[in-house]
Amino acid sequence: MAWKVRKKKGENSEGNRRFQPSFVLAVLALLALSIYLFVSAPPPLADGQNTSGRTIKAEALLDMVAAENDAFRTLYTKNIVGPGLKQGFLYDENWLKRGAQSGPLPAVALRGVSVRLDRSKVGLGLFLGAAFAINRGNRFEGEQLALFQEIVADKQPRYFRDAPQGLWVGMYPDIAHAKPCVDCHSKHPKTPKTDWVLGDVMGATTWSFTSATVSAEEAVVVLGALRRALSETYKSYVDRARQFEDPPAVGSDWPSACRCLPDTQTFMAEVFRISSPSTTRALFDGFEG
Amino acid sequence: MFWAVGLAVFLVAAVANQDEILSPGPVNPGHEAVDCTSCHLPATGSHRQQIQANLQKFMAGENTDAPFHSEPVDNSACEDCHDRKMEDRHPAFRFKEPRFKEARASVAPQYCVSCHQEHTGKRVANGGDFCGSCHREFEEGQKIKGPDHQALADQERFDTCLKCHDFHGNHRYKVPQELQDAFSKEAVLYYLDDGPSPFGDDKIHADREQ
Repeated sequence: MAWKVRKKKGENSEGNRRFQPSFVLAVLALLALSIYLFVSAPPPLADGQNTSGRTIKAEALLDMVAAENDAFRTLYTKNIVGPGLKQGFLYDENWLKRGAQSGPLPAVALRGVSVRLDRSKVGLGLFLGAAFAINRGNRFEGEQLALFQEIVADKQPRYFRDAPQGLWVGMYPDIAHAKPCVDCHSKHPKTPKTDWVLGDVMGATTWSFTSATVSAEEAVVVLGALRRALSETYKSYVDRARQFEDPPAVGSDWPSACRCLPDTQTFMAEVFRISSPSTTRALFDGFEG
Repeated sequence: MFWAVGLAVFLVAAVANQDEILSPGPVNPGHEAVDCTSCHLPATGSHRQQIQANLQKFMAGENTDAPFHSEPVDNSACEDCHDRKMEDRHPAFRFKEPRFKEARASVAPQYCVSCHQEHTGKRVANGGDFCGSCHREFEEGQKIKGPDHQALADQERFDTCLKCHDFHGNHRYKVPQELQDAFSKEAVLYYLDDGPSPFGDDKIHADREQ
C-alpha cells in the first residue's frame, strides 16, 4: 500500500514554506491600519475624567449636595411658606396649573430641583420619598423602605450601591424642622398619617451619583449644577407670583415683614450664607491625594 | 464582481436620499419634519480618533464603548422638543430611583424610547398596557373616583387604564368617571399607532415643531 504524501498549504514542491498572496495582503493592510491609527494618530479623545489627581468619594459629594439642598428647603419652608401663609399666600401641588394663584409646596419645589438636575446631565439624581407619603407614588418599597426604617431609628444617612444602574446612592433623613411641615402633612385630606410632630423623620431624600469618586473639578461642576437648579426653582415661583391677580412686592424684603417675596438674588444669597461654610469645609476635608 | 457590487453601492448612496437609506424604519408620527441630526448628534472627534478610543477601551478590557460617528440618543433628545417642564405625571428620569427596579426590568420606563421607540412609524410601540408594572395596589381609604380600580388591577385589566388616563398628563380634558364613558379601546390603540388623540388637542405644553 502506497502512502500519498500531501503537501501542506503554503509549502512549495520542495517543502519550503511560502506565504499566500492573501496572507501577505492582510498583513500589509493591518500594518497600514496600525500606522494610520497609532503611529500617525491624532491626539486621543479625552476619556471624560477631567482630573487634577485629587478626588472625593461619592458619599462625601452626596453629603455636600444634600446639605445644600437642605439649607434651601428649610429656608423656603420657614421663611417663605410659613410667613407667606400668614400673609395670605397659597401653596399647593397645582401651582403650575393655568390661572393658579399659588406657589409650590416645599416637596413640590424639590421636584422642580430634581427635574432640573436631571436636565443638567452631571450625573446627580434626587428623589423624595417616605413611608407615609401623601402621594402613593412616593412611598418607599423594598431596600429603600428597609433603609428608611433604619434612618427613622437613628436619623443618620445610609449609603448603598445600585449596581445594575451603576449608581452610588445616599439616603438622608427628612426631619420636620418647621411647623408648616407637620401642620400641612397632618391635615392634608389624603394623608395616611395625621399625628406628625416636630423632630419626626417624615421621609428621606435619595441622592444618586454615577461614579465612585469625582475629581475636584467635577465636584465643583456638580455643585454648580445643583445651585443653578435651586436658583431656577425659586425663580420659577417668583416669576409665577408676579403674574398673580394680586401680586406680592418682589425685592429685598421677606414675607415675615410685609406682603412680599425676596427676589431670587436675595433668597439665594441667604441660602448660600447658610450652606457655604459646611460646603467649603466638606470640599477641603473630602479630597484625597 | 466584488468591485462591481461596491461601485453600485457607492453610486446608489451618492445619488439617492441617504437619510432614507440609513433610516432603519419610518419616523414616528409628528417627526416627519425632524432632521436625522436633530437627534443623532455627531460624536466628539474624528472617526479615526473614535476608532482609536474604542480600540484602547477594548484593549483595556472596558465594557463601555466610545461613541462612533454619532452620540447615543438619550432622553434629552426627546425633551428638547417635548418639554413638559415639571408637569409630566411620569417623567422618565423618576424611574431611575432604586425602588423602581421591577418596573425597569419589565418596561424600562427610565428611557423615553422604551415606549416611544423611534423608526417604527408608531407613537407608542409597546401596546400601552404597562401600568401594572407599578399600579397593582389601591388603598381602600384613599377615595378614587370611578370604577373599582383594585378590581380592575386584580383582573389584570391594565389595557383599560389609558381609556381614561393620559400617561404624561399633557392634555386638558374631562377624565371619564365610569368605564362605560371611557374612550374606546380602538380609539386608544389607533392613537398609540398613529391616529388622533382621544384626549383632544388642548395641550398644556406644545411640542416644538423642529
